[in-house]
Amino acid sequence: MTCREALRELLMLDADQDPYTELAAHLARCEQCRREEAKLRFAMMALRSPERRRTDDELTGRIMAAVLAEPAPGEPGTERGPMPLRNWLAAGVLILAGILGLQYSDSFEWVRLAFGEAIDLAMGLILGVFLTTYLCLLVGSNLKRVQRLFRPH
Amino acid sequence: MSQDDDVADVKRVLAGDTAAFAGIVRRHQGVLLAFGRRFFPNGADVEDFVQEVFLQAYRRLATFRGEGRLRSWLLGIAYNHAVRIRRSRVEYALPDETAVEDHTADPERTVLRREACRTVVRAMRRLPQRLAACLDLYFFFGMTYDEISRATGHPVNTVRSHIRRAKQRLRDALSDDLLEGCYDLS
Repeated sequence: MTCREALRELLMLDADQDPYTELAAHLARCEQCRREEAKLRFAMMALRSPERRRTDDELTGRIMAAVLAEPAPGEPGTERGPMPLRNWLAAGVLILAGILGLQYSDSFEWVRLAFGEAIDLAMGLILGVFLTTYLCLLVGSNLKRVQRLFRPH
Repeated sequence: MSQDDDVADVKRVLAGDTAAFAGIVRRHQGVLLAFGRRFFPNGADVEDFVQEVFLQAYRRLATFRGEGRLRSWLLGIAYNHAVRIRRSRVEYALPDETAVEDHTADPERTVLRREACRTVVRAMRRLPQRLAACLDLYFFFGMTYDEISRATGHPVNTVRSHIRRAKQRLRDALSDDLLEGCYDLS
């Protein structure tokens, strides 16, 4: 390795990265490159500000108060905020409107003609599964609210 | 400041000991306050920013796998949060020389620090703000190329080449005499 190559490699080294074997071997025998390495290392060390180690107990207290008001990490709704209740209600209204609308629609007439009256039972089952899933998701995603609702005073 | 302490505290918090998060806050609030000052001139805004970063970190703590440094992970959250809230009016404040002043250091080291800071800031001024932030994260906050790339979304080779050029300038700007006054270079 030449001094020119060594300097190029020194400039490419990552933060806090030690020189790899070939570069370290060159540095061991070349005083000029060793000085270059030390120069860069010390210059970068000088840039790390010591004031960052300061702590403010008041700020720590404020942050911890906010943290303690949060659900524990990993609980549902901590990764991103829970879906607002308003959105759940809007989705529920849309589903209800869809179910009621079906009664007045002739869209499924051809299905009924093809499969007979038995399609009503199948449709009822599908709607039942759909509604149950919606309610499970609604309650599951708002467990804390539901708990508060049924908590004895 | 130890990575082992960070990993231990993260495990304790995830196991339900929320109070252990205070250790993380104490160890890393300084670096986040310094970083927040790059985006917000007002001290109260900086503290609100730091609080929000810690809250986001707490919510996402389960996604920290302990492979990298917690400090870099927090700085990544801080960078993205700052960019998101300042999107319409990004004004990245360059670090000033007094911000890296160590009052306990001898005068020669203070001169070295100032000169190094001035050189890096000059290199940052030549870059668009988001790339300037990469230099800042590397030189002043000690993040690695990969960590900066992950946090900012810039390709790692772009990050590396800009930092290499800044290092070259740093090397050219600092005289051997100045460094010899502070450290034993041999």
